[in-house]
Amino acid sequence: MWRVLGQPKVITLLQRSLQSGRLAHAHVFIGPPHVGKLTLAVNLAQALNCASPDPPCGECSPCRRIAAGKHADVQILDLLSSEVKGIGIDQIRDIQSVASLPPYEGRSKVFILDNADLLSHEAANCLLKTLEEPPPTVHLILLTISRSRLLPTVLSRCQEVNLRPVPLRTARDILVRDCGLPSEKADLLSRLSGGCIGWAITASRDDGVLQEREERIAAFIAMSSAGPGRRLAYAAELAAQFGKGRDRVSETLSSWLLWWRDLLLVKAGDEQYITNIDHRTALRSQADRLTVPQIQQFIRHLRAVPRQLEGNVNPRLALEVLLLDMP
Amino acid sequence: MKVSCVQENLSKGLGIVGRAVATRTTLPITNNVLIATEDSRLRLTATNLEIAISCWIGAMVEEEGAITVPARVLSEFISSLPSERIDLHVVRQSLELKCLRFEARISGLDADDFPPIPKVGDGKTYQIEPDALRAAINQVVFATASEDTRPVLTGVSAEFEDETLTLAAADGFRLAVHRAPLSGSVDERAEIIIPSRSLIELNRLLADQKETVDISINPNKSQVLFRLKDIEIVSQLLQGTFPNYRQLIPQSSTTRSTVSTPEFLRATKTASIFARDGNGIVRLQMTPAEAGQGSMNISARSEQVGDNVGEIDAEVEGEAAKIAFNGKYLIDVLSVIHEGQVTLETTTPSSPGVLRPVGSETYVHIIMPMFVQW
Repeated sequence: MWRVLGQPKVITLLQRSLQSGRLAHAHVFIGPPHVGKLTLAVNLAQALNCASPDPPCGECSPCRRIAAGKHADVQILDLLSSEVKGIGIDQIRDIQSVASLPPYEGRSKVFILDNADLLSHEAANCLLKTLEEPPPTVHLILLTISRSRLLPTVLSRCQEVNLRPVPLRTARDILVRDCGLPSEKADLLSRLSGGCIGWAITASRDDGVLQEREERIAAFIAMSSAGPGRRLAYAAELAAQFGKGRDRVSETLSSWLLWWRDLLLVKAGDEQYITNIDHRTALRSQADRLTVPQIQQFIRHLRAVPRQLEGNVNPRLALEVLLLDMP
Repeated sequence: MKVSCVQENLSKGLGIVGRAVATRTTLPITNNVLIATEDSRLRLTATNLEIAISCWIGAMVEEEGAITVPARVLSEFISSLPSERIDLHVVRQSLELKCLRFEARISGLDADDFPPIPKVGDGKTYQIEPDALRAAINQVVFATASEDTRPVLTGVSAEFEDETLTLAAADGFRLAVHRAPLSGSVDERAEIIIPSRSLIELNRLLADQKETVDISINPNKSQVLFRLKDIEIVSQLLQGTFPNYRQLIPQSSTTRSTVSTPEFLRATKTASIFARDGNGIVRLQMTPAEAGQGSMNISARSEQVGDNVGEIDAEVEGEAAKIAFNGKYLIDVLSVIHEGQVTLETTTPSSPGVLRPVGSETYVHIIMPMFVQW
């Protein structure tokens, strides 16, 4: 069974090419985080090694070993993880020498390179030969967020498979049907996930994710009526977080951006499209105090801050200016 | 699992399989060694997914079972123990060891998660004497390529035909071909490419073998099994076609020089000292006997270091000739020829040189010459 939810087109494509025996030797799966790229890649590896007549069954021994990461012929290299930090030409050479041997226990050797855009130039160039004509039993799957981050020479040697975020309603239905979530929670999670089912599933299992969001929104609401002193304190707090790890601050900024998008929608009277449906009252009362140009102006500012931070602007200054600028 | 065995046997067994333990790997369990009871013996197994070595040692089995534990920790601990009885006991996911008043617990991983060792059955099986196999491996394995640009060249081609096993290795600059006798004839011809690393490990284990070695190839030619006494080595086979090397062996020559192998080796080593800076170029000049003894002149020179010339006796048939080789390749091949004399066949300074031991038809070595200004 294919375990990727909400991507019927992609699954049909892969299934057809599997059945006709014309599967490409190298794929690149392109899609936003949590959309299901790795799940799909693991599924494809299972399908290539599955022992049942209807691959991937997910039940047979090869399928289970692959899912548990114990199969000798399926290698998953996450270029983001600390273990393989700095994947270089040596690791690619290792892959190539492993690829020249026949599969150890299964039918196909599958190499999955997660976050393939982080490959160094030398490594990517070294991979080209293998990508172009790997031995018949070898399949390579590269995963990336955006096609523009890969070298054109790499892209042209792979079949591109685009995984797009799932429409809101489909996402909600999937969460209700396949994950057994109550419809209210499914509605909220599908909106928050932006169509990336993987995120919604993680959030539904881990209460911490939603709680963190709750805290952030509480802060946004508090800041909207706070004086300059409290705003500056919040900016300092964010800047301190930024010093420890950039991810949390960029998460905060993106959920803030969603909040302001909602404000704009509420102001324009398109309330059915908002993301934070559990905070309608707060949104409405804040929107009442604002004008459309004010909201647009602040959204522009919110979008500029991540770029500034990436460009190594003093984080505290950037965040202080942002908070003082908030209408 | 509850087993007891002798420290010496266990330590030796771990030494044998230890060479197949993976060093850097994406599958952490391959850093472990699998310990399992099998027919009232203890089977030790390690694999790096290219080679798998299993070794059986005598043991008293009280209770069947299996576990995998980190190979390094286990073998270092066992080898530090006195030569006495060791009791092994698996408690949940860890291995308890007791020897006299020493005790240890090593945490392990489930044996079911260990990669299955390929079964090489119902294929073709050949037999060969261990000494013949060792001699063959020794004379070809050094000529394999070390880089992976052409994977098939990192292996040794093995061809079973009639009553001979022909091993051949090439790296683009040299070619070594050895023909070894098989015990019993072959009904069906087979050709495989064995990774050189596997052959090096096999060679090491063959050193103290006296019994005939079984070589089995599985039907789809992806794995080969070498069965020694109490040891089994399974190697993955390289896929692809080995270059047709037979057409590379020159059929004729204009100069045949026969020299003493040890003298030739010594003179080449001497010349190599001076050749180090000059791309390893060693020049040979063969002069036929006009009056008295013919000779071979071995020289090297480099801009910075200087130069040297050595001369050895040679029986030269045909015309006078000169040729230049990479000294390293000459040293490699002359070191594995055990016959007292060796023949060098040459034609022009730009055509390959052929080396054959005198008095033996089993070995041919070809080296590509280097182009030099004489």
